[in-house]
Amino acid sequence: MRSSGLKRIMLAVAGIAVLWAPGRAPAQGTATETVGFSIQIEPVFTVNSASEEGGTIDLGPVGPDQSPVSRRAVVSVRSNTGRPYRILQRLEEDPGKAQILFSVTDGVNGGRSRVSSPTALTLQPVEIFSNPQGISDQFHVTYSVSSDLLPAGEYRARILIEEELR
Amino acid sequence: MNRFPVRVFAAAAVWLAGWAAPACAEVTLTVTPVQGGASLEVDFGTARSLGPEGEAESDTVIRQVKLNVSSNSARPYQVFQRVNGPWLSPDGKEIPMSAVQFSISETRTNGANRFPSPAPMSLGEQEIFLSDPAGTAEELLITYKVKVPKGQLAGSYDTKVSYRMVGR
Repeated sequence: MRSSGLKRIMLAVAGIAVLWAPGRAPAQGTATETVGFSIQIEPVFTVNSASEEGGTIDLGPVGPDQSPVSRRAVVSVRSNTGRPYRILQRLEEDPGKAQILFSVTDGVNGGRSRVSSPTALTLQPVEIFSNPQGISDQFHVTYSVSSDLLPAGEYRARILIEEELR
Repeated sequence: MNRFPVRVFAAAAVWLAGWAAPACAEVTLTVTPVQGGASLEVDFGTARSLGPEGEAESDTVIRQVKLNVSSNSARPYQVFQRVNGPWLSPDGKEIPMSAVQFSISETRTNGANRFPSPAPMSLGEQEIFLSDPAGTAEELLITYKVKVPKGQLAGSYDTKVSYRMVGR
C-alpha cells in the first residue's frame, strides 16, 4: 500500500521531469545568429595603345634602296568584367597612296589575334583581337608600309583602335 | 517484489532531473554589425580590383561585428563562427577565402581569445572564444578585412556567417 503510494509519487515526478525537460531543451545553453556578408566589385574596362618607341609611329624613310621598316605598338586591355570583348581597328585618316600593312600577335592572357599575317589597313573597322574570358590582356600590332613604289612625299595616317564589349 | 519498479522510477526521476537541470542555463548572444543598421547584414560596400585606368591596384575593406555573449549558468561557454559557404556571385564567380582575414580584439575577461591575430577565414565552424570558468559575460569585437584580389571579376559577392554560443 505504502509502496504503491510511493510508486505513484515517483511516476508523477518522472512524468513531470519528462514533460518539462524537452520543453527546456532548446534553451539548453545554445544560441545561434546568422549574418549576411556582401561586397561589390566595381567593373573596369580600359584600352590603351602606344608605340613601343613612344609618340607617333615613324615608318620611314622608304625608298628604292631602303627596305621598309616595321614598328610595333602595344595595346593593353584592363578588364575585370568577365565579359568577352573584341578590339577593332580602322584608318581614321587615309594615308593616300601609301598602303600600311599590319599584323597582330596573340595576347599574353589567352586573347586571340584575328589578323596574324600582314594585311592592309582600311577605313572600315576590322576585328583584330578578341578575348573570350573578358580579362586583362596585352598584345602587339606591327605596322609597315607596303614596298610598292610611292611618289616622293610625306604620308600620314591616323589609326583608331576601338573596343567592343559583348 | 514491488521494490524493484519503485527503484527504477526513482532512478529515472533522478536521472531526468539531472538531465533537465542544465536546461536552466540560458545563454544570450547578440550580434551587431558595427557599420550599418539594425539588420543582420555586413555590407563591405563597393571596392575596386583594378585602378580606374586599369592599374594593378585593389582595395582593402574593413568591417567589424560585435558579439555580446552572456550566460546565467556560472559555467564556461564557447563561441563558434561558421562560414556557411564561399563568397559567390549569382553567376558562380568566387572570391578566394584567403582574401578575407579576421581577428578578435582584446577581450575584457580572462576567456581564451582564439584569434587575437588576423587569420584567414575558412569554411566550416571553428571555436573563436572560450569563456573563463565562471562564464563571465563578454563583448567580442571581430574585425574582418577583405583584401580584394587584383583583377577580381566585377560583381556582387555574398556569403553567410553564423555565430553559435554553447554553454558547457
